[in-house]
Amino acid sequence: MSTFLQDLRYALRMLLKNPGFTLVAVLTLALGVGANTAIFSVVNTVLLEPLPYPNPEGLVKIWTHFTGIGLPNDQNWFSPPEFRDVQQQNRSLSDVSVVNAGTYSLGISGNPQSLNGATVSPNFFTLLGVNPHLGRTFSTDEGQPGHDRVIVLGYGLWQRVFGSEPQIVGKDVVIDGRTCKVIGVMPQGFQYPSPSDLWTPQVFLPNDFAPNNRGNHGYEVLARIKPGLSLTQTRRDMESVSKSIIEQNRAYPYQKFGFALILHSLLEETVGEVKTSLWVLMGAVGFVLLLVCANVAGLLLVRSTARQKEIAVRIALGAGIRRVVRQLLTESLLLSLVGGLLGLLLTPLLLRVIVTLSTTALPRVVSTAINVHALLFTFAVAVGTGILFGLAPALEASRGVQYQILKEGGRTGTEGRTTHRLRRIFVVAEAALAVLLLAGSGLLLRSFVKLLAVDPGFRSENVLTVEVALPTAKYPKPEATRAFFRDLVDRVKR
Amino acid sequence: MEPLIQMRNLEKAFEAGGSKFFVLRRITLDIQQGEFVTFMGPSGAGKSTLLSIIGMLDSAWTGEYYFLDQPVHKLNVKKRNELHKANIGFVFQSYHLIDNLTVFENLEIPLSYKNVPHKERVSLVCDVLDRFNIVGKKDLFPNQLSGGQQQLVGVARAVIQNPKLILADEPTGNLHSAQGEEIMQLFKRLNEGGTTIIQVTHSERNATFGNRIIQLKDGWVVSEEKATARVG
Repeated sequence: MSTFLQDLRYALRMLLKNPGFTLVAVLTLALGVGANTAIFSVVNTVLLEPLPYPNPEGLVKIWTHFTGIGLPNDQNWFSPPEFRDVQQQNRSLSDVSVVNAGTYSLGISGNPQSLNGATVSPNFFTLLGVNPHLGRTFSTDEGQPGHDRVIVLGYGLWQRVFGSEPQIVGKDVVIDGRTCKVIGVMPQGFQYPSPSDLWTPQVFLPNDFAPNNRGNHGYEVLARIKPGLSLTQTRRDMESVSKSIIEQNRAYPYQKFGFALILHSLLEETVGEVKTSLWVLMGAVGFVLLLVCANVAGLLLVRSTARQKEIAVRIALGAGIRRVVRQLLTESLLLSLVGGLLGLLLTPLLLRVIVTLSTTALPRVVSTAINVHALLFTFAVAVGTGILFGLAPALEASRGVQYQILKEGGRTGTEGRTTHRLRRIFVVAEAALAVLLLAGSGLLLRSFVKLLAVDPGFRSENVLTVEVALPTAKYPKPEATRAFFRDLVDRVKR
Repeated sequence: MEPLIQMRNLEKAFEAGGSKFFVLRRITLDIQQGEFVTFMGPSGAGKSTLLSIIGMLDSAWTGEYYFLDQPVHKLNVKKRNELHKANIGFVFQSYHLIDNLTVFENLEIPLSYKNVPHKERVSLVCDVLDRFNIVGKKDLFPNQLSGGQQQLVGVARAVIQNPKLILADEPTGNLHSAQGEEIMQLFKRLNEGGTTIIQVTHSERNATFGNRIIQLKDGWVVSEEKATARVG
């Protein structure tokens, strides 16, 4: 025990006496651990973790598809008659709901606030399998005309605007100029579509289902597959539903445009667009970890050259190889642990930065938590590298003491064959990885510059856009809306 | 009394470019316990190599080497290391104190390698500090000492484990004459106390402190003579 404490004291002294080396090695390890864990945690949350709903594999989004219009990747939302057809004719779905995301104006003490939300079918929440935090969600009859003056609040809005008031259920709020009763508050973290502060029930009027409304593709459709059925079986069912829609509506050019229904899993829909970029980023950070390992190994090997003389002296004084290894192991372990632990402290900070910067760009990123497995893995890799390459001088020493090292004017600055070979390998590996990362960064930068240089077809300098949501209760007719905007534009021009 | 060291036809060679270069050739010698032997010869004669083999730091050689009747040439690394740490102390030309350790800690190191318990270590170090009159330097680091003081600590480190043999490689090479004289006097006293000493030196004067001079040239032992009495 006393010799271990002696080794530890000496290791600490060695690190403090070489602050430059210690700082570089510790920071390199910390950044490697921190960056990798943070990025992997994001990738894990966004891409790998299941959606936060019960049986998420059964959730799908359905699209209408018109191959005949000449767009190979064409995907459209549904019109109300098409939604009703799917609802009535399918055999594979247990629930189908429309989701109509929009902006709503909430009146609080006379000051309107613009909020994101969605108008959804009454079964929307049961379809997703999410229970409210307070109150209840919509009942079937609240999807009927005249019964729809109800609202479900998001947890964030309830906290922010209503001060988490427990008695909020049953109170009236003014949404888009209409007084609605709050019937429930959704639990923390529930965000569909993202972002959402409130939900109102979707009401279809008889006119919405008129044949001439088949072209009004304005409704997103979400569904849950019946238990026991696969995505392939459901796709087959959708094929027969689409054939039936074509057959039953000869007056609408479904046949001409090659109408079909397509469906994707909700997870794929949520993360599909960012999937490639995130994996590329993960790969890049993986290379950074390799680079960190090569860097730390290189640093330790350089230092080992300087320590050959000391190790030779220790062996001449009677230290066995095991004792030398123990001494070096204590030093490497201490260095790696300090670096690794700093990495652990750095991870939440880096994660917070990533989440803040990518809240709008990455779906689900807000719920990212540190992935403990990734943390342990990167910690083990970084610490292992430190330990392994800290032992290089002992490896050299195990071949026997080069007595010439101890001679005056002897080989004080040269290194052993193994160390030299290892260093060459690491220099080559570091250079190769650095070139790869540089090329990758260059390509990303070029794509970004190209993106910035894309001509939008108009001059965007000094142009601002403003979203205005007009309450339908106050502006029920198109004429009133047109008059409002005409007046607004005139006043802004002045 | 059995000889401390017996060597029979000991040879060391390097292979380079298909050729074999001999560093030591057919070394046959006996060194008795209590002797003070000096290896002399021109640079490249093989003096230090022979010293490192005697000190069991080098195992790549052929021939027979007995240390206190133990056949070193047949011992494995562990056994050689045990024999070495039980019996041999080194003194180097460049002192080779460990920079990041204090004088006290430098003296403690060989004892900790012999697994001497902590209390006993402290007592032995205090004793040696006292004997070498360096108590006041115990908390200093090597770079805070003069060359002579560093070599004094170097010798103290070699004798602290009470070795049978001290190997000194050019022990006064970096010291001015007065400091060198002091160190040689110290060796003389240690030898008179029973410790066998083998030194490598170019200094005729230092050689006179011993009782036998072995001349090496091109790896061969070319002559052996008794050291003549020291002048002045």
